Amino acid sequence: MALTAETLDQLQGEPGWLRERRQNALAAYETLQLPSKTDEEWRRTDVSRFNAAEYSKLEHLDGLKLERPSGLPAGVILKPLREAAKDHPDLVEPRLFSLVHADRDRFAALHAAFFTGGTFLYVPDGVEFDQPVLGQHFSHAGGNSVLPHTLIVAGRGARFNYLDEYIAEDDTEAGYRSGSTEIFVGEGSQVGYVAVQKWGRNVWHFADQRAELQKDSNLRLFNVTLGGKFSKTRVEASLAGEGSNAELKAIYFASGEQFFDFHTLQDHRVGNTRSDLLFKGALQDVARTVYAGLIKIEKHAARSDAYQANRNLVLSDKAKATSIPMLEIDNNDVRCTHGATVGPVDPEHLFYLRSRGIPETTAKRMLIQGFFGDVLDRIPFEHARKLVEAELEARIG
Amino acid sequence: MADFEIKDLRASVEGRQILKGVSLAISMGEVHAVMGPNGSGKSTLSHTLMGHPGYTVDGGSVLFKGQNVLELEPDERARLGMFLAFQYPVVVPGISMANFLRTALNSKRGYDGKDKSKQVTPKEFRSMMKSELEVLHMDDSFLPRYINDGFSGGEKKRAEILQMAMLKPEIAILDETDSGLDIDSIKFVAEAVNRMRGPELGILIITHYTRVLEFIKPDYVHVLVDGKFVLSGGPEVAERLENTGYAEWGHAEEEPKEVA
Amino acid sequence: MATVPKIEVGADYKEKYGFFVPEEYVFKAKRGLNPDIVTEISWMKQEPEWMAKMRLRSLEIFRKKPMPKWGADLSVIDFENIFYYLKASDKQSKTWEELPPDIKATYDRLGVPEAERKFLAGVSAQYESEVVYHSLQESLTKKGVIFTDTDSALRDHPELFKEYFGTVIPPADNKFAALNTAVWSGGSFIYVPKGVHVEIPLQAYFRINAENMGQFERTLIICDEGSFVHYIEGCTAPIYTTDSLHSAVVEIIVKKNARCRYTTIQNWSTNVFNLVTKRAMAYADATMEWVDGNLGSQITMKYPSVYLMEPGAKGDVLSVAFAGKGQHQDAGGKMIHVAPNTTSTITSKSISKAGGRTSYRGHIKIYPGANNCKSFVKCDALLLDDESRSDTYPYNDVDAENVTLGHEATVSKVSDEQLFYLMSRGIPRAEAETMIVNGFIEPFTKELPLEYAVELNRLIQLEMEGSVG
Repeated sequence: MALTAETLDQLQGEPGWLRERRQNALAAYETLQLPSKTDEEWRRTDVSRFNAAEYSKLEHLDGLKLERPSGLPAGVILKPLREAAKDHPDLVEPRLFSLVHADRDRFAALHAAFFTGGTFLYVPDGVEFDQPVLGQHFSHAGGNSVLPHTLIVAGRGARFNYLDEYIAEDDTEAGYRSGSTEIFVGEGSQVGYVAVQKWGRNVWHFADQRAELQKDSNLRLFNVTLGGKFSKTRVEASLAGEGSNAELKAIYFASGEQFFDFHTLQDHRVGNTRSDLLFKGALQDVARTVYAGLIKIEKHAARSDAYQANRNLVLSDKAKATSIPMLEIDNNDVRCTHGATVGPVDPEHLFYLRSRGIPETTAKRMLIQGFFGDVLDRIPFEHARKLVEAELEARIG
Repeated sequence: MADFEIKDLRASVEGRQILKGVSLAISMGEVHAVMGPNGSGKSTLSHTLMGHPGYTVDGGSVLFKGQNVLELEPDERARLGMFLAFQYPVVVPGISMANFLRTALNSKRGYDGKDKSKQVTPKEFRSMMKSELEVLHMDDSFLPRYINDGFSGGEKKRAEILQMAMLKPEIAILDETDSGLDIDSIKFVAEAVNRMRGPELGILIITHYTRVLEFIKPDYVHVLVDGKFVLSGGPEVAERLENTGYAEWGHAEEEPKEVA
Repeated sequence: MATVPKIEVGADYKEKYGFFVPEEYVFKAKRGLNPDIVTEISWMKQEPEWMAKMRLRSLEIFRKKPMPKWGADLSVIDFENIFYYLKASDKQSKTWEELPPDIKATYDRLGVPEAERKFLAGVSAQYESEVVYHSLQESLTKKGVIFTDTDSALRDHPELFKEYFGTVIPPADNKFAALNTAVWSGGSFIYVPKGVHVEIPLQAYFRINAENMGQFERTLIICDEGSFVHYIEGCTAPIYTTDSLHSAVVEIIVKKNARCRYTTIQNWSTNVFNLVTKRAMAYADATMEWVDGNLGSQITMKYPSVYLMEPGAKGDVLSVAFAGKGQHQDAGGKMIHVAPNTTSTITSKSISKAGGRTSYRGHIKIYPGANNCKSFVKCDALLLDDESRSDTYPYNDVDAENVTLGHEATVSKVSDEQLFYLMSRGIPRAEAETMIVNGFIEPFTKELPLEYAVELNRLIQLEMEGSVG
């Protein structure tokens, strides 16, 4: 059995436009080629052993738990995305898959055709609230597909925080997982978004997280990648309005035979925009990671600042990190810097700590925690910060 | 009429008005001190006088040698005889101090690469440099170094004074030249400035603290608060500030004395 | 560029050092690329059979390899409309009057001496430096150093030549290396024996003739154990040529404890596609340094590389690119760490102006087993106006243990604060800008011999004034 038009029949009760969109995505999936090894984005990322047909059962609806903060202001819409597609087509239809394009590649198409769980959050103009919205996406079993999609719309001047947590009940399950997100950051709004990916260690994971920022808006996006035997995540911010500011941060910890791939884009489409990206990862055992990021300053995007850094802490001799930070700058009135490092724990630091009587493993753990420290401090809200700290602590051991 | 006359100068930064009408007349041989608390507009005054592109002139004039210098480019102002000793001298990698100073001297003499008679010859430059360094008790080890690159705070300020000595301005603006310096360095800088003092030089010292004025005695002291002079007078104004601070203008927390 | 005394050319120059042309043969230059032309080139040069075969094999490889899809747009190159081999005498058909005015003006402003500018413009075939070259040759010969053009080397040192030629960059390496191997002519050949230090930089100028300014020159340098040589090619003054394609190959072998520095100042006229493969193999504790400046050409694609073959080897690339109107400089460097305990650095400085585009493209590859390596890449780009563009594409692959790798890059315009500071000392804006740009590339300039450094600064000044075409 494979993921086919019949599979789509499992998804009953959706509006016609959505059904049509899924069919188009499926058609795109069928015509798109598997990415080739000569394709720069996929040169170091081997998907040849991924066979979607092995995971043709879709897990949906019951996979999502939405925690609705008490006292959510009136007008805020928070519900599963499929439900929202029915109830609020005016809000969902024009936006769904308009940032994350279904025909970008085979995996994006597959996700767009078969996404199930996922959240829709709409915060109207001028609405602010402090307590974060929590969306938890569960997978209960292996052998299937869990493909949640989150759509967030922030109205003018809205301010709020949201957390997507991807949770496997069984850490050893094998399956096909995604966790894509589209965020519309309205004029003057402030959005904090955190995604914590903790799928099982044997799953294939593909995710596209993309935000579009309007004038004077502010996004703090934070990605944590821990799960999957294979995880490919694209994090992209499109700075479409003057005065917008995107902070893109990530932490990853790859161990065992895990392979993580991150592609990032800071697309400065207009002037007076700012983006600050910091991806920090630790690798141990025989894990491998690939980071490739692009800062793009378009022709008229003067007075833009863009920063991009990827830091890799390689904790074992056999782990391998690849880092490709790229710049395409088409305007001179900008400040751009990027940097990448790949290296082991600094032996001088280790020695210093040990010379004070701290055992090597403890010292190493402290140094790893210290390594992540500056990113952890930037996590936009307390709940997520604690969650990530706890997860990291468990990993670092 | 004074030699250097600031009339009703108003200036803003990023759309915010900082100087709200400053007038000041400096004649050759005089030393004026402008004192003020943080945010009063001191650095706006120095930067506007020298023509920094980040500061917008909203009104007023600055007359010097029959010209309104506000209409001139920074380099034209310098060639006219103005000099600004920066509070934070800028690092410019790849250009040696020697090359920098020689180019500046050549520019001042009007040498544009063509008329060799106007050029400062290497020999002439070396001898000028040597005598100024001797006067300043400095050695020439920093000449091959890049402009202000890796200089300590004290070295940067000395390098500013050296540039002033070499370029021989008629109006020198010393912008917080004392800030961040230990007492020995302040004395050193003050001695150098005092040596240059004379009928051919007007000096404007901009400072938060009274300490530097113990070493460079001003003829006039002006207190700048919120972009306007609130008090002008002789050296006694500095003494008054020494005792009462800026409190009477609502800046109680700020002491005009630097606690070392 | 150094001004060398003008001396009459000795009558036996060609026979002794130059290129040998059988008198009875009249070669008619033909356009296009096919096995006949390649065979003819080899026959003309009276080459051994292995070279003729290698040329033909390379031609096959060239035909099979696709054009690179990355980097600059090369689709406009018409391989069938190129003269692949020209005698020196055919190259001098131009007259001074035919030269584009901007090239003439630049020579004037740089103050290039008459004889030199005629040579650079291709109006005369030789730059008259015979005696300097001659005395240099004598002292080199005493030390056992071979410094000759590559064609002569094949004839006079066949064993040495065959041992190394094509071993660093085999024809199949890339499309343009294959092309060069099929049709190469001219270039320099240097052999430095064990322990010999060549004190003065060897410059292509010393033994220059039209041949080694060819389109497809081939350079081979062998530094035997513990030796040192510094080779300089090119010059700051623009070299005018009507050839649209320049595709050289440079191969260097740096043996144990040896050190080689290769300095290039590329300033082709802006009609040239400059597609060059440069690579060195560095063995135990050897050092290879590429100092690479790209000012001219319409398009340059050039990534000098070092294969760090044995422990202790060290590779350095220091490069500067200046792209003005209509130019695309796609340059960078590659460091391939094959052995453990090897180190490399790449420092790239680029300046884009008047719509020019500079790209840094680099590759750091650390092979499995090449443990304890260190590599650091630093790229700084300066954009002088808002029409210009700068890209950075560094590829870093680490497959070994305990590797430290760093990459830092910045893109900026000339700082307002720096400009204000210089102007506040009386320096006019244009001059201050030029000073800042020259300061920006100073880490490169200071590695050049003084006369080159001075000329480079003057050239930057001209470029900044926009008076260079």
